[in-house]
Amino acid sequence: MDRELKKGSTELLILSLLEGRARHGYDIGRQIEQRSQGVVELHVASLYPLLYRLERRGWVAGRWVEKAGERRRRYYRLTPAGRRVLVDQKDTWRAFVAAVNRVVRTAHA
Amino acid sequence: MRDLRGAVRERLAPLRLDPHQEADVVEELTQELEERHARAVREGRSVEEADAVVSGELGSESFSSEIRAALQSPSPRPEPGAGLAAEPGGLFRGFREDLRYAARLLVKSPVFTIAAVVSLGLGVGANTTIFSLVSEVLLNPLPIQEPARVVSVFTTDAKNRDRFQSFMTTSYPNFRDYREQSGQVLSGMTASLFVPLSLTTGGEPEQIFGEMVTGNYFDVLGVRAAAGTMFSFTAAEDEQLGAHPVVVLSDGLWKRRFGASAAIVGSTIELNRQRFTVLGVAPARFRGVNALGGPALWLPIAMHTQVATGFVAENFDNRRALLMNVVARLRPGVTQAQADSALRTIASGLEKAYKNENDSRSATVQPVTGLNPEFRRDMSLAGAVLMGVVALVLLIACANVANLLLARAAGRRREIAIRIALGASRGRLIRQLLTESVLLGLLAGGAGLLIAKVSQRVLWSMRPPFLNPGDLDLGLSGEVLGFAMLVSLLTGVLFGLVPALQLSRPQLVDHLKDRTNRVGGYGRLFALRNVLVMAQVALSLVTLVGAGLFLRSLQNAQRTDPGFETSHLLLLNFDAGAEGYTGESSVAFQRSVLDRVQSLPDVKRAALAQTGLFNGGLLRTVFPEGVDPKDRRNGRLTPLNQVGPGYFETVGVPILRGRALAETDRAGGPMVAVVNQTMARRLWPDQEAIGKRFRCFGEDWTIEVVGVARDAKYVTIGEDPQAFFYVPLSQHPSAAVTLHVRTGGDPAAALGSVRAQVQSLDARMPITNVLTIRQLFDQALWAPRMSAALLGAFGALALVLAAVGVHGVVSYSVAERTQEFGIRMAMGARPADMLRMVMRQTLVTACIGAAFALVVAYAATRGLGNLLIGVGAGDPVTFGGTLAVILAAALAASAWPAWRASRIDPLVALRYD
Repeated sequence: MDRELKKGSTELLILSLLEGRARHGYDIGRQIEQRSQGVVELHVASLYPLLYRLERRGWVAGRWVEKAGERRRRYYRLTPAGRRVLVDQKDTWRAFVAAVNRVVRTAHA
Repeated sequence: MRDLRGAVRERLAPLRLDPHQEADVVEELTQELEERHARAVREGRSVEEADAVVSGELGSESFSSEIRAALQSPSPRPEPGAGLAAEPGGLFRGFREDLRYAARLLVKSPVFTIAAVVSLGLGVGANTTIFSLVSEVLLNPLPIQEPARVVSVFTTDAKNRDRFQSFMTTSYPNFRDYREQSGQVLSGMTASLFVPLSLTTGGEPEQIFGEMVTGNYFDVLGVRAAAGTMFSFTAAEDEQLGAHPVVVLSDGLWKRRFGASAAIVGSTIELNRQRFTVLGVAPARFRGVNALGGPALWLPIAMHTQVATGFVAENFDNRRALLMNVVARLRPGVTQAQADSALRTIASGLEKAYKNENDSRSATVQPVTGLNPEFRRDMSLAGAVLMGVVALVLLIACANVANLLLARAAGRRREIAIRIALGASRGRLIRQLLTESVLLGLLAGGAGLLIAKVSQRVLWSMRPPFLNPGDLDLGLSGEVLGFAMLVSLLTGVLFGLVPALQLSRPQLVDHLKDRTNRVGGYGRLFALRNVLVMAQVALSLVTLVGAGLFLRSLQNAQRTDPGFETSHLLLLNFDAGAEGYTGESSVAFQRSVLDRVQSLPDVKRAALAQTGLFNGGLLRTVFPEGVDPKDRRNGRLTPLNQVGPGYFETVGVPILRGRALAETDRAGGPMVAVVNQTMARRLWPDQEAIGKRFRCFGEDWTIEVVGVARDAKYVTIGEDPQAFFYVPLSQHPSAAVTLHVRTGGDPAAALGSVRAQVQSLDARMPITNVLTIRQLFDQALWAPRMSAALLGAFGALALVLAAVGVHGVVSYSVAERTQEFGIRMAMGARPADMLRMVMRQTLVTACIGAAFALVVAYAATRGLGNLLIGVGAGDPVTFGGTLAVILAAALAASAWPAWRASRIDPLVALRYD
């Protein structure tokens, strides 16, 4: 998949995944990979820098969580600011996809 | 797999990140890479291929630059808590995490937390309560200037070495000489003496105790007035009899009687019908040189001719009459030993100069404590016993919580094993576990303080009757709070350390692979949990033995025959001397009181005596006729009571031989006495005492024995039989007397009319110490009752805590051995066998603990002799009974888990993980 396209949309993917629940980094990567049926695969060198960036912006918050019988892991959750950004980005994305679809369909017709 | 963590760290090193941030990133990325590696292997790739995947991720060119860029990207607002996290000093940060984690765990299992906090709280509360008493009575220095430089001076007597006679008070003439001659070693020396006073200002007439003190008293002690001034007189001014009618009020009297009014300073109050000017008020905590109790006010000793009555007035200048409490301040640089030897030298000079009065008497200098050293030794012993017992209770509570922690820790073994595998150091783990237990300890400390606050009040409400509510400053002082804090912290470490050490043992890593249930049995008899059971059984047995001994002692005390009537008696004191009656008029007043009281319908008999029941008697040195009364070695110090006609019938002391004292034994007639059995036997062994004669030291008259009375108890219910004699009040008059009234019905009901009769003769006459014989017994039984109640309560607490502990351990071990029981039952064991096996194993464990404890208890109770009545420290009944109770409790505690063990379904058990 094209690198630029991926980078621009990964942010949205991560924020969406965190919408329902907090997840740790590995889980985020796996979920993206599984839900996209292997189309989107994130390398360590792109997933984590992105997470740290989102955290710096205050859209997600990471926290070490210890659970009985498990090693401690850093879980990320959506902050209220992140939630607002996500709503915003989803709208933009829907508008963009709709626009692209219209263009592509037109081209095929 | 190679060292991933190291590799990640290496890749990040050039970024020079903040150490905490770097640690977080390293941990997170290492986890990610490990997971990816593991997944690759799961998906069927070889280890080498998986390694290659990970290396590819790590080797990516953009790896470190992207991370750097991300971590340095603009941040619109700081991360919450970032300020703290960024601080250097990983210890604090780790601790904060530990604390949060611990707190969360405690909240998550409320039943465990409440059980542990209540159990420990009771232990800490008991310790704090007892400590606050002990510290107030025995440890706190008196509130005087530099108490370490102040000493008490006592008279010693080589001839009288009985209990409570090693440290005696001092006569006023000897005090004068000590004071004059000791200037080299002492910067000041002061004497004081308690006197009963009748206070008629500010309310109903009331009898109070005042302390007559030499004029330098407050200067020597270095005590300043809280309001007004203290008095200060020279030694010469002390001799100006009646010249200084001033008083200093105690804080207690000032508040109680005069509403803490500042206007009282400078005003006049009336004591024993004499007017005194109030010079000042003493500081709140100052009670004179008294650790327990204290006077209501202080007045100059120069006023003794105005306020002292009876024996004190008659013997004030008698060099043999030991009346004065003497306290002195050491000169700078002088040690107590030097002062002691200097006073001994002076005393030996006085012994030579006054052969008759001072024979075999000397002086000794002791640290000032406000208590007689011998009494203090008994109190210290009692305090030590109580502290020891509450410490045992706390240990049992600790063992209990350690049990709870162990049981819970078993569920956390996998968590801890994983953390060890991930590289957590043992120290780090122990710290985490200790944080939890110390947090528990502190919570328990809080609960303990609440318990202590309540129980202190309950205890103080059961104080002996000679103490007033304000006599002890109970409360949670700084020391007490510190003590509770220290105990809680120690407790937390103590019960947390064992499970922590056990849990963090490296072989626990086994738990990652293996959870086989090992077969239990005698092989693990000395496993940690069983040792805890043994310890609990042992500790509670020692506590219960203590409780048992004191309960038996109380039982004996209650069964003891005091030697007089134990119901239908009413006692009250009045002092005609304090109201200005002297000699003849005092006798006449007493006479009319007796007549009026005896005419009351519900009064059967009444009699006067100088000393009330259980108050002992004045000590005199007695010489049987035929020995040389000049040589004091022939004499015996014997207490006596001056009693009026009808005393023996009223009080119910039987006359065994001869006759009682009667109306016909008048002043001026032949001097007579009734002696008790012990005195008759000691003075005239194997002879008939009646008709024998004896003398008292310093008197020229001879007394003839006319009767022998049965032995009674004179001071305490537990005392050994002691010599005692009775002389007629008419021949030895006293203005202050106790009226003994024998009633037909309830003595308390007769009180009103008796009081009315006395006050109809003189409305201002204060009536004091009104007691029914039942109340008097309650007072006499206070110490045995209190010890039995306290130790019994602590013993019961210990037993309950230990039973809960045993129940917990057995339940846990049954659950753990489910599989083993299943196998046994599958092999043909019957439920009853299981039941027996579990209970037998508990019993064996308990017996080992008990055997050990019996030895310890036997050794530990040796020292209790003085505190027990009629029961030996090694009392077989107590030991046997306690052992039976403990073993029964252990069996009962294991019954339910044992029954459960017998209900295990082998099929279910074998599937049990």
